[in-house]
Amino acid sequence: MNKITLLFLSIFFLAGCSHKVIFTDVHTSLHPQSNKEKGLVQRFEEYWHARVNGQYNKSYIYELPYQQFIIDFDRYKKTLGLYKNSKVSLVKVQYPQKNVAIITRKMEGKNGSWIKKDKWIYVDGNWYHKYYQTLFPPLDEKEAQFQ
Amino acid sequence: MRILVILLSIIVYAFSVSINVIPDKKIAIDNGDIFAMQQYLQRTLNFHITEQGAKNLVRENRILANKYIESPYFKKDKKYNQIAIEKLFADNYIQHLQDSIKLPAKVLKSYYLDHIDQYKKPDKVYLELFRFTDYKQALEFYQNPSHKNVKAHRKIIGWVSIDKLNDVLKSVIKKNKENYFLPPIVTKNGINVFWVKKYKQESGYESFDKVKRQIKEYLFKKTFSKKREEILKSISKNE
Repeated sequence: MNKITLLFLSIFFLAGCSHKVIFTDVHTSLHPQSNKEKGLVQRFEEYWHARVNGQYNKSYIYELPYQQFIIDFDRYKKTLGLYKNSKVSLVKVQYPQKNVAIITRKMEGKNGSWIKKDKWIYVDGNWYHKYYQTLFPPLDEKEAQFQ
Repeated sequence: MRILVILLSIIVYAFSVSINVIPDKKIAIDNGDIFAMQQYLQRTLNFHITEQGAKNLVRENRILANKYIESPYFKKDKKYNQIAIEKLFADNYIQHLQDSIKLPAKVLKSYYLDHIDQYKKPDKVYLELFRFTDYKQALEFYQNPSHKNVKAHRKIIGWVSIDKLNDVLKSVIKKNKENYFLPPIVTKNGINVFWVKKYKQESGYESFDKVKRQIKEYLFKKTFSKKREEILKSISKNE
């Protein structure tokens, strides 16, 4: 094997490693400005892909660690379901605090579209979603925005 | 219904803990008593007490408890005591099992970051106290404050976190900030008029290390019923 073949093979291998999974049900037009933001967008896409496909055992591990400690998985999965088969778009990201991101998302389903928000928190190098149940009425207006 | 109540009483009686309460005449206090009191106050009131303080409290409680046990009131409450002690033991068992859980730092940190506003450092005020023996004098001083020839005991309190003050004072101070007098407050030691000399707005938050123990206790309290159910289930499985 000559050097040029080896070089080509290495380039193909590296390209394969950096290949990003594209979800058809989650869309984002944001161009991440940093690795931290890249991580946020990726976690957002993976999380919502799991949620809209009803893979709650996957979405559960993206929820804030303290919420996973407090809320059993059985209870968790019973309170979700509103967004099954919807399409999700990331509209914008705001950072009210250093390790907190508020994402505005657009949800499109059979009954129309809604603008909602997500709270994500950066803990020990990973972004985690703040869970709000979606089947029961919200406690207040603020919670309604995030459901 | 009556039959049910009678049956329940029989079950409670039959399976209850047998406790023979006798007075501790020696009032002997060992390190275990001191540690237990410190833990108890920490858990129930989130209050840190010194070893000497805990020792004094145990001694005082034991003197009073001995008197109570010897008094005619005690017999009336015997069953109640037994039930209360069983509840205490049950709660202690769950708390001990919870304490043995090692919560990963990211569980505690995620709570801290999600509730960061709760950990904002409280603002501070610099207070000086004018203590009067007569209410009329205190009121006159409050209405027309003059530091000269004032017949009051004057004491510098210094910087105080506004979290330590009651809600009414806190809201007055937050609104008026600095350089004014608070209305006279009647206490058993006299009539106090406080001069709010300076107000300092704090920035920043309490460190994670400082509050992580508090967060852990909160999360354990929140999952107490869940843990109790889990333990009962595992006991019934194993028996």
